[in-house]
Amino acid sequence: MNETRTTPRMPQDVAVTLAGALASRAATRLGARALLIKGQQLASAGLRNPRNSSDVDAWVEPERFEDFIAALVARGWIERPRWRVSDSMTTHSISLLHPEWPCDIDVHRNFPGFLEPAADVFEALWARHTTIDFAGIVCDIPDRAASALILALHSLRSSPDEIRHLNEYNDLVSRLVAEDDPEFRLALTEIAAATGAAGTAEPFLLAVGAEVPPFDRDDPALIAWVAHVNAGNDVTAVFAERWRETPWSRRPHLLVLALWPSNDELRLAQPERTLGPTALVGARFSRLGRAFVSLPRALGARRRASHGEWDSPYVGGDK
Amino acid sequence: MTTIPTRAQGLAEVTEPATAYVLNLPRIEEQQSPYVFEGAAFEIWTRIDGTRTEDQIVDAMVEATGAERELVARDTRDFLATLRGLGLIEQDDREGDGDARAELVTPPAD
Repeated sequence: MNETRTTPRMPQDVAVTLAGALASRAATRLGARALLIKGQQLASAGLRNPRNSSDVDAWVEPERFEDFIAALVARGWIERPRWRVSDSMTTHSISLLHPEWPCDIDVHRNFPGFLEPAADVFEALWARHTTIDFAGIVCDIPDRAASALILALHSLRSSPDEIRHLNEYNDLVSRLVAEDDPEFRLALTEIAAATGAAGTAEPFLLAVGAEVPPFDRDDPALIAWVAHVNAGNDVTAVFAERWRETPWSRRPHLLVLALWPSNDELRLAQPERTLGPTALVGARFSRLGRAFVSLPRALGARRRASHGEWDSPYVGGDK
Repeated sequence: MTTIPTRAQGLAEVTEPATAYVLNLPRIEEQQSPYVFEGAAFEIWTRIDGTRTEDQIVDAMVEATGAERELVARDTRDFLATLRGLGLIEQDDREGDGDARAELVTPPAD
């Protein structure tokens, strides 16, 4: 008569909603503060069209990051396997998976594009946060203006080859221009000033008619950001920025990780294929070849960034 | 004694037209993925609203399914007992006519 199951056969949108509630509740029980970012609330706030998210993004106060990860691990979530070199290149978040869930929980300790210290950024966003009901659970989220800024930064940092990001960014700008809300623009400016996003979000702020707070155009972190945007999230460019930030003593190790990944890591990159010994050699050299080919683009992106030049479809050409 | 089953506090739930996905957050360490209620389970679950007694839920199920009352009553009570065991429902025992067989299950504080 009764069909009662625990099953991974749940729709993606249901899983994301429930996982958001799970993450938010885990933070509450831990006594930590966490904001659910991006996700379904963007559509609710009129910042983008509704669409299914593939994962949950939880931004936890930085000093409780490890505790929060441990709390999720206690609930059966495990760190998604990734390349060792990625560990050194992606420092802002960790992706967790659960064998019975069809979505990840990405736990952020900070968010790319906010250049102030992570703790200060979180405090600034928390000070103006709001709540939303996910699956009957009250969850903390950034307010609408902060959500817009996060979405803009996320889009700017994404590859323009991913047309969805470019469309979402243009749609966001169109919506805010049409709203023509001076208070909202002021809120964007205030958040950008408080979080160190004035320079990184400058194209967005200008596009929606918001005032751009003063910022240091020679800030190395800002130049690295612009280089990243200019390179269109190209992995070689990302590696080049990490290389630049890494002390000389640790560079050989970083180089080995990048140039000579393990067989397991190569298989991780192509999970749909069964890579035998010959295919592994091919994948290794193919990867080196792609890196070599994209190196000029990465260097060019960096050179333009160091001159304060944006070169991205998100920005509409050089500024 | 009249038994009124109520949903446990702190559950996360997404309900679609014919399916309910219920995540037992108060016991998430042991019950790590959602329960999916479909068919008769869904019909019973949606009738657990803190106002209906077990007998009234059985009545509603008999009316909805047209099945024999004795059979429906047995299956419904079995299902409610399962839910109690999982900590998904609690019960409110009130003075009056009714069934007080099931033991009180209180999930850990969330």
